[in-house]
Amino acid sequence: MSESENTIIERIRGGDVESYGLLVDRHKDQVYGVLRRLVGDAETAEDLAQTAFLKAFQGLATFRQQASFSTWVTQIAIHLARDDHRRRQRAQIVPLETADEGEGGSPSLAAASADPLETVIATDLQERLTRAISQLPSDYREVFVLRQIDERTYEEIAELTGVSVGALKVRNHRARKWLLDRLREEEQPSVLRLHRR
Amino acid sequence: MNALLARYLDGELSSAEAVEFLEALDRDSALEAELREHERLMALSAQLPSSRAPEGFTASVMDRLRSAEGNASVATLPWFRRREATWLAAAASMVLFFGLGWQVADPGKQSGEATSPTLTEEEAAGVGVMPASWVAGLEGAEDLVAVRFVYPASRPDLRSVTVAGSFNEWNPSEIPLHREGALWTAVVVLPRRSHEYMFIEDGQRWVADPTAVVTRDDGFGGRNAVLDLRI
Repeated sequence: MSESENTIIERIRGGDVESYGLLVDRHKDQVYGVLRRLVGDAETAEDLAQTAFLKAFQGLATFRQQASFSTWVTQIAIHLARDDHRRRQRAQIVPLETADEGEGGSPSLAAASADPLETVIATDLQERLTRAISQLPSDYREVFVLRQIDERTYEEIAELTGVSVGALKVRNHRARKWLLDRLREEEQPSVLRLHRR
Repeated sequence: MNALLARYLDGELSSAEAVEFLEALDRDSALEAELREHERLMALSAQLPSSRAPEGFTASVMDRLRSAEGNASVATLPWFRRREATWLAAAASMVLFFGLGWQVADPGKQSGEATSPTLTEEEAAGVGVMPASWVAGLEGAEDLVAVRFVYPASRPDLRSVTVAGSFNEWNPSEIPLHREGALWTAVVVLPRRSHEYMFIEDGQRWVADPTAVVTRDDGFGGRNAVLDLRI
């Protein structure tokens, strides 16, 4: 049976810094995955994910375990993503792109547009959806990623983001409509209809 | 009908509402088509390949922990001890401004509401935690300002309040406020620039400063309080 997180945290508080690697291992995919969807490019997502874990470590002594470590480090990650978003806006950098990535990553935009015939295959649909998600307005993207991709409850998302459940529901519905409109604009006939079950 | 569609997709319709909605679907082919598209989109989204952390991620975090942050020790790295707080209080001579959300101690400011030229021992003790990186940068004390964050106790069973902001990369547990009657307070020394912050109740609920005069859209539909120390 795996060691409980409380036990690991107590050990770290006792000075066993190396045990922190166990916590990182347990939650790295979840934290990185959320950031990858929120900020777009793999390099920034990795840097922010690492920073989130460092910040969580720094606060571990005062972490009261009223929330789970997972929730806590994800909260930090989301706020880092928001800061990153604001910095990019100020610098007038196009905020998101779907860069090449290894295992589990999104295909590149260049590859997406290279061959129109590829538009009818499922991987292309995923690619287009991924790109559309990266272009969602930021407040819609956050709830869409956490709800529809990460499959969290609205209550969990409210805890993570500080946004009310009611507002999250409205945003999620608007996000879906925004995405459907974007996908319809991109592709005629609709890729969604092409791939309907 | 859009409201019913959204609530149907969230599984929140009552039995009567569900009947009404399903009847509407029979009558309205456009509504049915829209529903099917939403459902398809949700299914596709849930099937998107998840992004796994890159190879060597944990090792990189641990390397940064050991090296970039100095002699990493959970007992000594992140927390600013009372001794440093006292030194810090001596380094900055101050006049206190009053506002509920925060109070600024600054030698360059004069105010009729000023009450103390320096941080008291209790105020210095209020600096419960402080990142090590801040301590390292304290040589230029003239560029630092002591700020007292004040949060009204919103309910009697509130167990903890912390403040997080752009000054600590939004770490929600690093800076606890201490209860003083109906208020929670903490003194924090910040660089003289613009900061954004929020309070966190019980380690979970992020709350915008209810008394903030200036707020800024956080880009995600919420509002952060703004604390501009440049003026």
